[in-house]
Amino acid sequence: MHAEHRPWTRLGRLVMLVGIGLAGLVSIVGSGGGAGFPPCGPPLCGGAEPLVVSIEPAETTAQVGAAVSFEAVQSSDYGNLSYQWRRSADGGVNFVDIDGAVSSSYTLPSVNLADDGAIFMVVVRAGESLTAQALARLSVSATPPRIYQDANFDLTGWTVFRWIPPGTPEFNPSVERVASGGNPDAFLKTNLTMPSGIGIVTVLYLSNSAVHDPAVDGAIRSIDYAEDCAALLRGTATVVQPMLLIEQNGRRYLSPAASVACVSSTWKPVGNRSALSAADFTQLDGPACPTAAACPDFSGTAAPLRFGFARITRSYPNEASADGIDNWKVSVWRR
Amino acid sequence: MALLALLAGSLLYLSDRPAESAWLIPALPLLQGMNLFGSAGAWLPSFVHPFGFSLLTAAALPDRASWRYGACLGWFVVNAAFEFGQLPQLATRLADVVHAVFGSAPVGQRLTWYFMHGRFGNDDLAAAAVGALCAALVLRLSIALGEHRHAR
Repeated sequence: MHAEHRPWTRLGRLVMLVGIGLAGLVSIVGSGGGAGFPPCGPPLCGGAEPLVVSIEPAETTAQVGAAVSFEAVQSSDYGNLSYQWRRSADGGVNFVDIDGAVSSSYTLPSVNLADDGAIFMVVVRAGESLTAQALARLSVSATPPRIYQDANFDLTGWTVFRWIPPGTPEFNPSVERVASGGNPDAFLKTNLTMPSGIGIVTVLYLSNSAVHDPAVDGAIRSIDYAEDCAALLRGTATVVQPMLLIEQNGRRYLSPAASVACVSSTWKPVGNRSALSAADFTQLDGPACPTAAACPDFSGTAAPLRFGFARITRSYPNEASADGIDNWKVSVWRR
Repeated sequence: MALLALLAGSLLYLSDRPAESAWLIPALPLLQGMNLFGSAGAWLPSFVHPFGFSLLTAAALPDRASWRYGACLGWFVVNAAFEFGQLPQLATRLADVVHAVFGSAPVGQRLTWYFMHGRFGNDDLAAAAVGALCAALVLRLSIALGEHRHAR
């Protein structure tokens, strides 16, 4: 034993170890998590991870004559991958290989009505044994979409609501038009401080002019939604989820949340969704939907629909946050 | 050796990382953006931490090989646990727990920030494992050297 070389008392040793331990923990947390490496791929690591592939966009609607591109996106960097795009004309029952479509993206240079309802599959192979596949649906419309958009955000064009479920505390967002710093120029900024005792608040914004009347403008086939979002002030755990908002017959509906939240201080199109159908929306409030009625109703006899957007902000009580929206755009594809 | 390694790690945060990325390390405009470590800057902190703290801990422990190697294993486990805490599936839950325990105290805020804003990387785990192994190797060599001297 060499213990005699270290004339430390037990207490001194204990204090030393506790100090080193604390310093070690503080330095890990203090590092902020680092930027990390670029994603690691095989053969160094990640080989056992399952290969997961998706197609961007998974659903899309295009006008006759337009070019449409699909991109295969894999979960990790697997090095050299091989691709084969396939197509189904019978709703996804049978697929045939598309000649020459063997890269990570597939483009139809000019779609026509024969492409409406086509389902595309990409089969991705990494090496001999690892395969994955994903599907995408294409809808083609003979008429152009009706577009509702705002990139200037005059405050008189919008009505802002706080959505406060019963029993939850009030909060007071302040909404302002900022003339510069958007993507580009003007944008709409919302500042809010989370109330005490609650971790999620919802703010609703309805356009005063973006109203689609199916009886006049046509029945709705699907809706594409796009916006640019920036998280301008984040609390320690603030996550902002942007969504499309629809109001019809006193009921308000939210689109599904995008897979990526608005957490970047730079402008990003994180809320984008395509080919939204009536079934994709969830009722937020208003009267209960009558039995056998469509809620929302996209048919030609439906009541007018007013469009807007929603922000669900998750943060800690009493923390301040701010987010911005620019280039709000709703594209309504008609039957 | 441990202190030199940790010093290099601190220098990296001064020269290669944004000023606001690390806590308790002041911004030095003179060094900022110098990118002294180049591509090694991506993995060095994950390597240096278990390496340096394993050696420091081993130095403070009684002279037993098992305790020394245990220090290396322990620091790898700690680093790996914090790295896994950055996984999106875990980060939000951990942040909620941290907030429940620490409230809005600065320590809680920094922990929450670490989990919510840090990025999980397989490579960080690999670098931490290599750092702990290198520390174990250094300890093995120092034990062998000590035994050699003792024998003489």
